[in-house]
Amino acid sequence: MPKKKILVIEDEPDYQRLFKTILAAEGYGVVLADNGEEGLKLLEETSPDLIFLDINMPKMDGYEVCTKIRSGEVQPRIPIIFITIRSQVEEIVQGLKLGADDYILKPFSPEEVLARVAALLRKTSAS
Amino acid sequence: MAGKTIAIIEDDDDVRDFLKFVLGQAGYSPQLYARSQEVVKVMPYDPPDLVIMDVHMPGIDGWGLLKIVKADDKLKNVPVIMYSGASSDSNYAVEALRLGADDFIRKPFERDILLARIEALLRRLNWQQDVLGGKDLRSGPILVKTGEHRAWISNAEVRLAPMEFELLVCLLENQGKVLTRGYLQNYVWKDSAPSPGRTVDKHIENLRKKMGEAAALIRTIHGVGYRFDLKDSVR
Repeated sequence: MPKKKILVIEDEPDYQRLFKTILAAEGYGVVLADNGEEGLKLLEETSPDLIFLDINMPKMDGYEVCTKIRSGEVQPRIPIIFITIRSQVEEIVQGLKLGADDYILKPFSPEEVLARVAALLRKTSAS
Repeated sequence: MAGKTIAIIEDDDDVRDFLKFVLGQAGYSPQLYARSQEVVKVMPYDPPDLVIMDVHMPGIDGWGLLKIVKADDKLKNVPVIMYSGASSDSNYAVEALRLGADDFIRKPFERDILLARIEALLRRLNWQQDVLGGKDLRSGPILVKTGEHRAWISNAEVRLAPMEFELLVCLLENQGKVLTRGYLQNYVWKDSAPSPGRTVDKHIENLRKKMGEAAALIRTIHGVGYRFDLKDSVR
């Protein structure tokens, strides 16, 4: 079975490294993007199985990226987990309404990252 | 505890959507209520396994709703979690617990903690039902769940007053046997009843009225008492 590929759109270098470490250790292929624009380009080029998307980025914020991904989408629909630093209900609901499938708060544990990835990939392959 | 229904009572759209997402993701079936009035009208006929509600709501607020829920036979055993986000809340937790809520959470919600607390309450309720011997009684078109205090006739739920429910349970548990008025009185009222005989007859009459055609299954044994029997046998 081919390795699943995960695109991580995250501007903080520390978190980029953290995601890469956690996901690669579990056998996932990891593609990193510094910002929204690069993320959208890599999305087209690499066709990932799942996307991690930071909401709080300068320039194009995560909501805009999410909207762009969902509007230009071709089947199959790629699951998106957005990353946020705030537990504000309004922000989380907005992300979900724009088409994200789940969210995760910084700081997070490696276990939670892997659990959410596994749950979404399982759901996607089942449908 | 997948499959359990959780009622969410919250007037703010975002908070309600958030809770719906989190609970749905965890495998529960959310029941959404945006207004307190809906709860009063609908919930007794469709009791959830757990209620989670905001203290601050327009119209009947969380405190008022909690009192109503705890006073309702069908709902009083449903675990309730209350929450609030206002900063001047130091006494809210105490007030909530005093009024009968099972837990109180401060906003902003932390998903893991919220889910852990819900699971803990549902686990406790499950244990109580097992230990207290909640059981199903089935006979003909009648189903009674003693743990939940609910009854159905031909798959339609019937609302029974406490004494009516107790009498029905007694009759079903002693199916086929003749139960004297004295026995029934003792079973339901334990020590004493206002006017012996009269009260049992009155409650049986009320019970029969709610049973439709199934009322005929409660046989009157003249001069003696009553018997629940599926077969129409010789008196």
